[in-house]
Amino acid sequence: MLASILIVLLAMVVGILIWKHNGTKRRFRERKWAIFILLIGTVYMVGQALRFPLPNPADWIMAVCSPISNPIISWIKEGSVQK
Amino acid sequence: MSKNAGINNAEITSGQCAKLYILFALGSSALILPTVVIEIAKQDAWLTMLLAGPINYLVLMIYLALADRFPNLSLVQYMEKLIGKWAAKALMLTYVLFFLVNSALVLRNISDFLGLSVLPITPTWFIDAIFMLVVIYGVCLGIETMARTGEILYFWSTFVIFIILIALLYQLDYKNFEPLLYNGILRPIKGLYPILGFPIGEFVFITMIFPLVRKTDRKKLRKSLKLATVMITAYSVLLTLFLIGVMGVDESSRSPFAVYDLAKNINIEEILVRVEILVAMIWIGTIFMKLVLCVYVLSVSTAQLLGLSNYRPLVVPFGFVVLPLSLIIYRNIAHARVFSAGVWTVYSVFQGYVLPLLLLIIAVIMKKRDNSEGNSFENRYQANESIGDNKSGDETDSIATKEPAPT
Repeated sequence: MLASILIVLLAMVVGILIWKHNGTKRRFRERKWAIFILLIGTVYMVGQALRFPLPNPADWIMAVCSPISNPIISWIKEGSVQK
Repeated sequence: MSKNAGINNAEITSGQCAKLYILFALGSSALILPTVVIEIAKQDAWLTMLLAGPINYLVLMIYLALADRFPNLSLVQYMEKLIGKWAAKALMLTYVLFFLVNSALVLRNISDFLGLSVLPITPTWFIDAIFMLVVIYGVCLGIETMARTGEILYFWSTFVIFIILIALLYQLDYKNFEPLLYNGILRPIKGLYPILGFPIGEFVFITMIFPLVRKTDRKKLRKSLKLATVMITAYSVLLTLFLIGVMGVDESSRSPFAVYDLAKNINIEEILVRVEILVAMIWIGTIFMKLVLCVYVLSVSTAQLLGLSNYRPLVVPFGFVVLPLSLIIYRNIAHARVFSAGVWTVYSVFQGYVLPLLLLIIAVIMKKRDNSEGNSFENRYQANESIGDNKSGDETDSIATKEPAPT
């Protein structure tokens, strides 16, 4: 719990710094997206600290690519025992 | 360096680009890849590494052909010119995900290695966080600083690898290579599978670096990168030869960090012993470069996807995403093996060969070329910074947009 509070505090400090550093009108877009990405990262970090089940991009990639990779892996494993 | 190099911090030479390419390849693959390849190709793994050279060369040719057509644009930028705005945005998103996952995987490799070999009691998240801090700092400093760091690291990496190989020369047992091609050429060909994705597919990062190579130096770029490909192949073949020759097939394919274990075998008259820490130092240096490049390309491609004028505000937030992602990306060692040696190759081949090849075919069919100036973040950022001393915020930005710093 303490870890998640510290993470949120750190994210707030970073967020304030980004906000101040990109204070001009023209940089509003940069600021907006940076804060958005920071928010995603903070949610991930807090989720990790609290041991919540988090969505893992590796699972998405596996779901998409394993129908192609599985037959190749099986072919590679054929006769792979050292004689 | 050209007269503006120090001001706009956005020019690298072709030699620096080639060194970044080599360091990226050496990064995680030199320590981890031989294990996977030896497991598949056994004593013929060195032949697999030799076969990977021409494939690497062909992939590089695709990137160079695209760079010839769009010399001042990155992959993400010319994608929009080739396939239209919305289709390009969708594909860019896949690249952002690719570089994000790649960054997380590289960071995980670092913490796994340090956790297992050098810092066994230190928590993984702490190793990751400290490493990420340095990476964020490096990425914020810009490509030129990275390239100069790469030059220093390249020299030391080559020197240490050379010393280690010389020190192990007398321990080579040629019987470990027998029987040669016992199962025909098929086994070395099968061994190519993991290499196709890791690291060859990941070399697509270089397409984001090409526009930053100094214009007067671009003629040499092709030659430098071809030489870099030969050197990468030579390093891989030599390391694999020594792994098999010194440690044998069984021990090499069991060791998670085979090259590190290889250096443990160095013993010259009980005087020069336990030099594996040298390998650890060099490997940390090269993998640092790989991670820096991954995070840089991730930030730049995202900024180009979102139409931002500067990538730097995104670097720290991406650090916040990459760090927890690296902790959850592998559930356990079995998951890591299935993912990195099997699934990742397919994804990496798609991003690294298939999409660039399709883009090249489209460019050739549509006869598209573009020599216009790219939207270099580094130039614009530095222009803002240099003018910003005298001007207020909004004024500064508008001036910078009208007059980008000369390259």
